Amino acid sequence: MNNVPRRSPEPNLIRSPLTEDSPEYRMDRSFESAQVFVEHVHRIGSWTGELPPATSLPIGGARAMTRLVLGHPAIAEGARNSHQLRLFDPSDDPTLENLREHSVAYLVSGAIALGMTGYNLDELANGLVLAATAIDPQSLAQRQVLLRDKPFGPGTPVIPDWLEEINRFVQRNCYAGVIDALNELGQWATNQLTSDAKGITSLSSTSVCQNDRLTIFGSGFGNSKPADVVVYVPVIGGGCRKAQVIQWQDTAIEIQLPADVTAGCVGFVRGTAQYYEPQRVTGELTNCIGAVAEIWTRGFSKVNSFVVSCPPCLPSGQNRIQTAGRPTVNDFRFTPSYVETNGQPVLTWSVSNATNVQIVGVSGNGPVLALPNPLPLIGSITLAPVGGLVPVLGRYRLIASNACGTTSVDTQFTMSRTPKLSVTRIEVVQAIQRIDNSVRLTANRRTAVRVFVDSGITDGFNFGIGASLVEGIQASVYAENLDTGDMTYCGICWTPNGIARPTHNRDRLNDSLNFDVPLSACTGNVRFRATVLIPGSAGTPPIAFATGSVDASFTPKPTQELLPLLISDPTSTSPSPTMADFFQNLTGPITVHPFPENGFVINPPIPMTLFFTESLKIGLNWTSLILRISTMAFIFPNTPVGGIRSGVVPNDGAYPWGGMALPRIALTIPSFICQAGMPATCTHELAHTYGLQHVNCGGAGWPYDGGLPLTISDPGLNVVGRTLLPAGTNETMTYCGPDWVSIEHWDRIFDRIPI
Amino acid sequence: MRALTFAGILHEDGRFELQPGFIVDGEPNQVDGELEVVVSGKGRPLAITRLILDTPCAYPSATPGEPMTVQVVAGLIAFPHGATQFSVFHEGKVILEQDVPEVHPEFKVDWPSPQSIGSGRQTISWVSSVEGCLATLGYSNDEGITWSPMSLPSVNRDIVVDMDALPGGDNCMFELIATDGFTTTRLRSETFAVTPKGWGLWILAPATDAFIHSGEVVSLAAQGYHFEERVPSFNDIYWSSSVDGGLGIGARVSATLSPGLHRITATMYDASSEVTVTIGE
Repeated sequence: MNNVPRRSPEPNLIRSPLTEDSPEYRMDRSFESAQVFVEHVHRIGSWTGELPPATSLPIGGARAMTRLVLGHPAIAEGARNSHQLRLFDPSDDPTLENLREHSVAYLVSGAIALGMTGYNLDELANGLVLAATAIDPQSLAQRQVLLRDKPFGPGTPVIPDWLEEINRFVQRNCYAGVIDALNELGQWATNQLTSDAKGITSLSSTSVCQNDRLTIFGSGFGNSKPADVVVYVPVIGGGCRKAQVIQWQDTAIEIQLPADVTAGCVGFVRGTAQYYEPQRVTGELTNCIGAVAEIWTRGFSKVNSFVVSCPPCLPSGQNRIQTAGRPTVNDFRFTPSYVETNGQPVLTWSVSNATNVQIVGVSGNGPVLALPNPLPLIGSITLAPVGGLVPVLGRYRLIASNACGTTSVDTQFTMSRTPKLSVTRIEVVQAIQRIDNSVRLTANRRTAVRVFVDSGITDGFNFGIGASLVEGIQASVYAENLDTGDMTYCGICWTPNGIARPTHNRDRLNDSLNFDVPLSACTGNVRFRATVLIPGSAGTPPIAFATGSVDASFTPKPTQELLPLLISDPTSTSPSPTMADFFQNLTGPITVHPFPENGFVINPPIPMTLFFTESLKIGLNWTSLILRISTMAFIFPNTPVGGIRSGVVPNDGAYPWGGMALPRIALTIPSFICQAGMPATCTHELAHTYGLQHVNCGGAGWPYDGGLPLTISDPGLNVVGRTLLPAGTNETMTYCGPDWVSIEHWDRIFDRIPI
Repeated sequence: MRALTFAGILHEDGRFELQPGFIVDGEPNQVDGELEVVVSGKGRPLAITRLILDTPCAYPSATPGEPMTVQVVAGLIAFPHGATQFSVFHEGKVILEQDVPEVHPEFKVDWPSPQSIGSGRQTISWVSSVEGCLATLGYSNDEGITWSPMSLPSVNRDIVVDMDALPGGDNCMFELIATDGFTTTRLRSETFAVTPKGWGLWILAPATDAFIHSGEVVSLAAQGYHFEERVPSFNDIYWSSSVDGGLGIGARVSATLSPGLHRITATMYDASSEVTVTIGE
């Protein structure tokens, strides 16, 4: 530490920097003083309140900080590194921002400490900046610990993006600007002011309130207030503040206490000094370094007061205010603040400067607290086991009062239940499915996955949406192709806020969390993996978590050829059918039958017009029409294209029938006709062409199909419309609605594609 | 084998209503059935064919008619040369007897001129020398190797054909097939040229002029088809909106369209198709 410029020497400066490796690292009380000093500097620099900051700083801390700075090799030995921390220019890297904050704290605190201890910043500012931006591990660790940021553990590894070559660093305009700002801070902190409590023998009261008047008794004060003497009183937050003098006599001084007066010692600050307003500090540092500098310096442009040291306390306490202002609540909380059913949180409280303390319930459904009477200023109670079948939120308020007023603080605890989620079943559905997923699946067909999630709650605990139900379940499903290894994300759940339940009804769509499976994933052997969770708060693990999987196999199916017949009826006022009508009807079988996507080859339509005498308003003409269609192949045996003869007739309310079909009879061609706009009827009639016959729920003509049930055995799922038809719904081959395909129906079509 | 198309309706009261048949070359029904048709020539049985009775589905509409009580029969019966009569038996009873008319009908067709027939809507008119005859029209674009029906068998004397929707070729023909129920006459036009159509593209959904609520996912569906090669295509179909631009590629595409009037265009190779839809509240 050769040639360190100073105005007035300070003894016992530590030469070498304290590092994590130093044995004194954690124990050195001087370092602790420096930490306290940095905290005081932060109090001033970060000030945004309405009351001016108390600009008192502990001289002991200033000395400790000065020793740290002067001991840094950049100053003590003039050491230079090839690179410094990249202090300037914007950054969106939070780690670099953190390191910059350490540097700013070191710079600002160091400049003020050097100023307070009489050192000349003009000559030390360069070294201070280099010390504050040194990137060797010891310097980084020292700055980190100085802010109590990370007292133990390994230091932050530095990456190249955080560095700047030293020559470039010192040539920056910002470098010069920072030097100027530090000089200002040093000048502001430099003064010849002293503090004492000379002559004080007692105070008019040792218990005072904010804005009270207080008389300081003693002797030798002089008959009038000397121009270079100011009365300082202790204030909340640390430090002290100038008090307004009301009356000054040789043996008594009456002062007006500030609003933030607190317990501590009253006294005098003496001397005169030229006041340097650190006006440029905030602007220079903020412009060059950014937001972290603004946080540390915004107060300096508003202080308008010298840096002082607070008056000392006299040995017998003659100048001590014992209690001041409203009560202080040091602690009021539940530990833990969250408990499971029958948990027992502990309420602790600690109050000072109060004459009366109460704890009362504010809101919620928490229990009545068994508190001692009277309530001591410090205490704790363990609550009785908090039970019940609904969550408990207990909000309580501590009200402490004294002659100066009342202070109140709220706290709360929660009793609730952590669900134990599990995935009880996954069903892969295209139209209908059994619990064991044994209904066969068509490759490249619209498919849904139903994930049934158990809440793990069986005792009826009610979160507010029903007994044993848990909402807010987040779920995701991936389809892993076991043949190729491809993994496909199945997108978001049909309903965003999933609910877990203790039991499930497959007939209710919302009893499962449902997902669309991308078509590309519906091929080969696929394992569907579901993950369900209740998210925790940001950065914390999920509250509950479960997974499940099921394997499914998709079978490729060939296409079915169709020959559209667009049949106009001159006796109908409805529009003649179009290909759009044809396709709209086809959405029926596409939705419920095991045809793949693009599973129909549609041949060019044949438009045909009925004669007036063939009006479809006459029921028998429907029969005649279907007969003519089904026997056309005999007349035209060498047609270039074929397929199921699929007639669309106008949608006419005067028609007696919605559709009619004839399956293959011996050599006839399977044929059906259907009114436009009737997809469900189209499904029914197309199934007839596949040989399925009626199921009689009343009204359907003979013959009846012994292979089909009257109602469906399992819930049917409309994957396209996202609607569910419960088990017991009428079979599609009845004339009763609503209807859906049975498993037997699905299987028979599945096995016959194409006819 | 010489056969007769045989389609009829058996009413609940035992009446049997037979549609006029067409003489074709085909195999008569070989399976057993409830209906027996005995074809005779000059009082001597020539052939017996059994046919299956079936009940067609008649799915009720909003205003359903009487419940379906009829049964139908459809197929081919053997009808050798020299047949003069047939009898239809059901449950051992004769439910219909018909004699082949001795006078054969004559049919005439008014073909459009080969120069004008290749495009647009064309009307093919026919007449017969006797009442009650039916006719159907076939079209071939390969000089008669394959035939596509253009109309159902009907008494309608004017058959309208949209030539712009038919596959093209240099040797196209029409054939009118007319019958009085027993005697079938086939009358062919001269060959004519029809412009080849190449790829066609049908937008199957949405329907043109459809109204779709804002925010609703619109399902776009189309299929390509090569008229002359007679192959479908589901590939390389590009979708676009006059408002939102490109919507996707494929035979089935889902899109969410912004509010307003959209002209939805599907293109594939050199074919394209358009529909107009409105997205609104």
